[in-house]
Amino acid sequence: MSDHDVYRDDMARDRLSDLDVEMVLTGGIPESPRLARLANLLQMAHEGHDLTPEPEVTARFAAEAARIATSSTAIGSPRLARPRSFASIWNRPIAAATAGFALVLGMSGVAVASDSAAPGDLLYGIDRTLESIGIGAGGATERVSEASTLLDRGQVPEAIEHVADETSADDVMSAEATAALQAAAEAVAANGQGNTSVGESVGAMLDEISRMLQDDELDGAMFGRRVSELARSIRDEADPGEGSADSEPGNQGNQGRGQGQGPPDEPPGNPDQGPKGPPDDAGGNGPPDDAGQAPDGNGNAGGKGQSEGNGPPGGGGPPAGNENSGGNGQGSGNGQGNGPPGDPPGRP
Amino acid sequence: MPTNPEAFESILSAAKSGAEWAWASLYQDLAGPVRGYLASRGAHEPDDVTSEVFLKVAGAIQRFEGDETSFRSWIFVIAHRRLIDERRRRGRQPVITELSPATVTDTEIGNVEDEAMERLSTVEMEDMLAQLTDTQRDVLALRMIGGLSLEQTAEVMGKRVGAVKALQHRALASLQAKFETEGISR
Repeated sequence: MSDHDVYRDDMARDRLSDLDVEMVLTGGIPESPRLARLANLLQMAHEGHDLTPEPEVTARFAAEAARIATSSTAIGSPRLARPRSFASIWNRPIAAATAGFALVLGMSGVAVASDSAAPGDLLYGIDRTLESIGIGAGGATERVSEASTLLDRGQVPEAIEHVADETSADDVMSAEATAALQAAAEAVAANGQGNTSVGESVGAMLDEISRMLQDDELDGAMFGRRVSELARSIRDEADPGEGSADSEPGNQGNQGRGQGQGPPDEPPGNPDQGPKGPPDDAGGNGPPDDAGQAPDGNGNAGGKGQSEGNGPPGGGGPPAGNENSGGNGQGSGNGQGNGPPGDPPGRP
Repeated sequence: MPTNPEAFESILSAAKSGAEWAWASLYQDLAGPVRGYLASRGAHEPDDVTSEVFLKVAGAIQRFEGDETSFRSWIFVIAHRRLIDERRRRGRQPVITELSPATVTDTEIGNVEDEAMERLSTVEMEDMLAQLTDTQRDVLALRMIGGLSLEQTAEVMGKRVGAVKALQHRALASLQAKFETEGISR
């Protein structure tokens, strides 16, 4: 954007009142006639995307969602590993066996204990299986966290390899970055074991990767390039003889150390923001989407048991005052089953 | 979505119990805006991602506690995450938005700027929107398609309210400035 553009935008912004902006964004009519035209066009440009789903699609979803919602109660609200294909987690023997094991031992304790496990730990296999059926954090962020645990144990090349292998499987890491990480792991394994400086650089790289995974404005290409740079720097540091022309000898990895761990515009302790949780995959900031936690922090991260007898008011029908919304729902008379077909669902 | 807290509470409770009518109600109300948000921001398969988002909600519904506003925000948090993940996997920023076939129907012509705006086609609108930053466009889509408040949008994007307010101001100012430039140049 040129200086002229910035100036022009600033001038225009000065003329926009907060009220007019809200009017444009909420479908109202702003006071400014020029802005009213803009609002009209913007509204038309956006409204075509909001398509009400077909009744049969809604009914199909409702049946599947109802089944999943009650199934999830039994094993502690799992995430869906493959929701797109509507795959049943119970069709997978290993996952089902693990879920059963978890039930016997007490779901939350196992999940919590295994969720912090790193490769090599007794509970790590359980951790990954639980993740596969939707329990536990999972995703790239946890893989990086596991790598940090390995690093703390002095398993430096294993830590690098773990990030390379696991995040590439999730499509988070580009092929170039994966290759650079593997090269770094090999160089450290061959030459850099016991080198404190290399270990610090790896730690800095993991910190930097964690930070980048939280940055929703960083695209994949930039992410991959940055990881590649850091990995090459570590490789060169571990084995200076292997340095290549495209990498700067030195310690770029340390750039990550000391930088903010959260998004740059996220003030620590901002009361307006809900608690931060780990993103489920390589996601951005904010509350974890799989924790069922309301973004305003009101969610109950500890989980709640299934409500018993949750039929709608009125003895099995939808909430009082509802109007029939098309007859694709069924009244729910108890905590598990649906009411007889024909009970009008409707919505208030 | 219901407008009174008791009604939402009943639907949420029924959804947790596995009542299909409750899930149908939630889906019917929210799938459109979610799909719209994803499509407008360049999701590759917005219908599939929308299903993915809602099934994820179903899998975690037992742990959700909150009101209707929180629920809507939560769903868009998931949708926004999916979008960010997809952008990252694709290694590039989102594609050009598909715009609805808008036509300008307001025939009142008062001055040069108005005439310029009357001539504005959807293609030009697309070009103008394409010049905004992704974050600005996310804000506009979350607010205009998602129907989220300023505060909800900030929660979904993991930003401060003030930052989102500045983003939306700048986005609209930029668009308006381009309108005026278009009018002068023609």
